[in-house]
Order: sequence, then C-alpha cells, then structure tokens
Amino acid sequence: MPWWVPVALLVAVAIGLVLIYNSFVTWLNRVRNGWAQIDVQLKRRHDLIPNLVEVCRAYMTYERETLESLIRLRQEALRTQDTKKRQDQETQVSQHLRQLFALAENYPQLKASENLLALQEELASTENKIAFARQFYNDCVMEYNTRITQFPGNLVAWLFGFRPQPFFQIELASERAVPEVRL
Amino acid sequence: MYAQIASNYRWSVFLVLLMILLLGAVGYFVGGFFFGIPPDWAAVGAIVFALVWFLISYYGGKRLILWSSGAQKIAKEDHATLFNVVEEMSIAAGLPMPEIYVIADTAPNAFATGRHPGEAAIAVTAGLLTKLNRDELQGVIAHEMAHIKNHDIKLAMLLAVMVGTITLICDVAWRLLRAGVRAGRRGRGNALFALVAILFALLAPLFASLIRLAVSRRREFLADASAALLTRYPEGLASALEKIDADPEPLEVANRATQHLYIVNPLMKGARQEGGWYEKLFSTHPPTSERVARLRGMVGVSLPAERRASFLPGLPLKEERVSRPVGIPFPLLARLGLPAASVGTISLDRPAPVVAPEAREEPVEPTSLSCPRCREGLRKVSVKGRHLFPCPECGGILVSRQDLKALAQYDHRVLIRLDERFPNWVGYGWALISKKICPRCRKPLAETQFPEFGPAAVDWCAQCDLLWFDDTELSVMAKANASRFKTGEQREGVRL
Repeated sequence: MPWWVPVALLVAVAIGLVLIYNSFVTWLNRVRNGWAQIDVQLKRRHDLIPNLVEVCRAYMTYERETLESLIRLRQEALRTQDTKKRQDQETQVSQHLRQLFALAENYPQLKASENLLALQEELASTENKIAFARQFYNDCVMEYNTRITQFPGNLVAWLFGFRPQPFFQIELASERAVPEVRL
Repeated sequence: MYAQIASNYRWSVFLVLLMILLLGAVGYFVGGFFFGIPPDWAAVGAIVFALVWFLISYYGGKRLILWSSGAQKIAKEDHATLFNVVEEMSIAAGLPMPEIYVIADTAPNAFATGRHPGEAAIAVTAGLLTKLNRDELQGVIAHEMAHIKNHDIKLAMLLAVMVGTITLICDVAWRLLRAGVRAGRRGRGNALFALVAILFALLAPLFASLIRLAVSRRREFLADASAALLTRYPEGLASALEKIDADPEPLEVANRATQHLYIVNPLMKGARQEGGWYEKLFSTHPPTSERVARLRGMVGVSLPAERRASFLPGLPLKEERVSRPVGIPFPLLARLGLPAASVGTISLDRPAPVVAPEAREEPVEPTSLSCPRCREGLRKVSVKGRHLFPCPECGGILVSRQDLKALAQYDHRVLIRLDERFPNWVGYGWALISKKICPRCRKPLAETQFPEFGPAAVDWCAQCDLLWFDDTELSVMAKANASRFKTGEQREGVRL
C-alpha cells in the first residue's frame, strides 16, 4: 500500500467531520433564531395589551374582572424567568384575549370602534406570528434532531456534545383536541 | 429544496453563458458582414456589451422589473393587513422581511423578484387586495415566499430582463418588418434590415421556449406545495388561484418578458390555457385547474378552521368576516391614483339604487372640501337654496345642522333620495385606518345625539356645527323620523 492512502483517508475523514460539524452549528443557530422570534412576538403581544385594555375599558362596564385578570397575567408573565411556567402563563394570556374579544361582541359600540378593529387586526396577526414562529422553530428542531441522531452525525454529535433540542409543545387542550364538525 | 436551489443556480449560469455566446455570435456576423468592422473585434465588443448587460440585469433587475410594472413601495402605515400577512409568512419561512410593492392595476395578480432572499421584493396588484380575503391573500404571499426561499427569483429576474430584452427587440423588429412589407418599400437598406428582422423574428419563439424550459412547471407546483406547508392551509391558495384565473380583467402592465414572474400567467388565464398547441407549448405555468386539484388533494395538511388566520384564532368564525376582501385603505388608493369606483368590487352591502325616472336630478358641483371619511373631494348639491355635501366615493353626506333641519321640514324624502343617489362604492374594509375629521376645521368629529334627529348618534363638529352621515345613515334617520318630519304633501306653507 502506498504511503499516501492512509493520509488521503485521514484528510477525507477530517473534511467530512468539518462539514458535519458546521451543518450542526448552522441548524443549532436556526433553532436559536426560531426561539428568539417566538420571544419577539410574545413581547409584541405584551406591548399591545395595555392599548387593548385602554380601548375596552371605555365601553365595558361589566367586564372589569376580565380586564383586571388580563393585566395581572401580563405582569406575571413579564416577571417570570422559568421557561415552562412562562409557557403556561402565555397560554393563559391567549385564552383571556380570546375571551375578551368574544365579550366585545356584546358591545355594539365597542365592536364598531375603529381602534378596536385596528387592535384586533394587530393582535390576530401577532397570534398568527406566534403560531408561525412556533411552526418554524419546531421544523428546525426536527431537522436538527434528525441530523444529530443519524449515522454518522450521531458520532460527531457525541464527540462535540450536541444535544437534542426540545419541541415547543402546544399547551392548549382546545388546540390539541380534534375540532368538532358543525353542520 | 436544496436540489431545487442548485438547479436554479445551474440554470442561471447556463442562461448567462448562452446569452453571452449568442450575442458574441450575432456581433461577429452582423458587425462583421454588414458594418465592415473586423469580425473578431465585433465579437469582443458584443461580448463586453453582453457582460455589462448581465451586470445591469443582475444588480438592477429588481428595480427594472418593479419600475416597468409600475409598482410602488409601501410601508406598514399604508396597508397594515398586507404588511402583517407578509410578515407572518416571512416568519413561517424563516426569511428576512421582503420589501412590499403595490401595482395600480385592478386585475388580481402577484410576483416576487430580487437577487437573493436578503433583498427580495413582493409585488401585489390593487385588484388582488380588493378581490381576495385574508386567507387567500396569505396563500398567494406564501407562494411568493416559497419562490424566494427556493431561489427561483434570481433566475426568473435574469430571464425577465435578459431574455425579455431580446424578445422585445424581436417583437419590434417583426412589427417594423411587416409594416415595411405592407408599405411596399424596397431598397438596399431595407433588404438588409429585413434580413436582420427575419433573423430576430425566427429567434423570438426560440427564446419563448427557453423561458418555458427554464421556468419549468415543476417550479410552480413546488412553490404551491411549499406555500401549503407554510400556511398549513392549502385551500386558501387553491381558492385564490381560482379567483385570479377566473377574473376577466387583463393585467395591463404584464408582457411577454414578465409573464412568467406572476403567480398565474396574466397573458394566458382561464380558457386560453386549454387553447391550441401554441398556448400549451409556450405556457410558462401549468394549467390552474391542475394546480388547484393538487392543492385540494393535499390531505392532513390543513389546520382546523378555528386555528387559522382571518381574525383572532380560537374565536368562533363569523362567515361575513372571513369572506370579506382585504380591501385597500383610502390614502393608499389615492396614492396609486386609482378611482375608488374602478376597484368597486368590494362587496356592497346593498344593490345599486334604482333612481325613479321622475326624480329630478339636482346638479352636482365639485368643492374644495375633502370627505371626512375617505378624503375624496366632496360634491355640492343644492336643494331649495340649502346645501348638502355628499361624497361620491363612500356615500356619506355632510350637512350643516340648520340646513338639515330646514330640509327635513321641507320634505324628508329628498334626504332619502339624495342618500340613495350616492351609494358606498368602496365598502368598509378601509374603515380600520381612517379617523373622521371635520373638512373645514380639521378637528375630529364627535358622536353626539340630537333630539330633533332621533336617538341615533351622529358625527358632529361642534365648532362648525356640521353633521356627517355615513352611507345610508341619513336615509335611515329620515325614515325613522318620518312621522316627525313633514312630507311633500304637507309642505305648502312651510317657508325655507
């Protein structure tokens, strides 16, 4: 066997290692970017809530409790550091927002208010953005997790300590449930 | 997807090399034989020209295409919903936010262009916004976002500018040639010109088929599928494609060079796709019916209705809200220079009024006042020396309190007739943005109740004592208070 065969093999392995390692880093960054995007949109929703409460307060005389609990939830979620707990609180904020918009249907003047309509577009879009950011994050996590568990990627992952990332779970029971068919 | 990106890259390189070689050859023959330049130098000159041309199409192609389509860049303030939909899709695709342009054309269509995802642009027509609802718009934007993500836009842009220029020259040459033949002029210079023109005319179909080959139908299917994956709602795009395809209006800004950019080929919509062999051979897009069938065949992708857009997810869906077209806010409509009546496809709440033939039509004069609601110029209608200021776009009516009181006492049916004479042409999609202001003093109007005009609140400017009635509000008010007001039969003896 000529001397250069093992050298060539070593070089090939090294190049493969570098390529696989780099692809892991790229995908891990996409996962982190996806997570950051979710956070940005959640923050945006928190910024919109005070405006919403302000608009609703002028018309809603009987729903003080709903408004106050929404404000309280927002403040709690802003203070929370723990990711798991934060997810629960954000889910509750979503539920309260829905409840508020459902209640707004009972107030014709409020429902027709241009401020509320504009806010509704912004909040609906933010909810969409949160959902799409979550979708993008989960897609990235799936791709990344597949790459680090497939052969020979799993060897490189083990060597450099790449760990699987958690999926963003849907916490709402109503979102997980099979939608009922209305006839 | 990565295979698609690599294929796009290969095609772009192939296209550029082919163009350079072809131009070199044309320079070699035409320059060499007809103009007496040494052929080698002519070829070099042509290749240099082709290189410069490539650089222009590569770096300026986006601006060139957008400019030639008459697209105008918009910001979030101009159209919040469109901006939000694009942002949602850019998040779903994990791409940077593209620039958004609107084309002042009432035919619904859209395209994306740019060099790479970092500096892409999405252009939609005004007609798209007034004819599609939010879910459908989202489908269209997702399709364009998929083209951006798959790097289809660079190749499509190069094709539009480089091949487009050649087809343009061919078209012009062909028309000139035919005009020359018809005029019956013959001569040495003309014979030479005719030869070149025939050469170009022969090349034109070649380039058309090149476009067809390069922007293959597979790309459109792939973008449709990726769009369904982004929105998780293929029905939105399917229904949008059907609407765009069925729309009879032609897209004036589209031509043979840019036809392949659009989501549905604007030159071969509807029945024309199933037409003759020529249409089939040179079609840049697969038949829309086939695209729709494939989208509808995607099972298990769709989100439940409660989870998707339109308005706050998780709320019970209201049919009228979901199916409402997105619409265009008035300031943007004015900037695009479109008369509101031309995009009057926003659903009207009631049919156009039938004016009784015996009803005398009072003359309508223009005024310098602008509508409190939509900023259109108000008109002036005089009845018995009293003045009403109707808006020809949104159908609202401005009137001073004294004049209204006098007219109501004179004959309340005049008010109903005038209100019905000026219908709402634009729906209420834009009402999200506009805030009603007094056209005279520019202060916001306040909702106030007036006992003499019934219990309903009316927009009122306290300073100028002007009342504003939105479309139909005036006739509703007049009908509700009919017993209080005098009618025409009783009007004798009432002095104005």
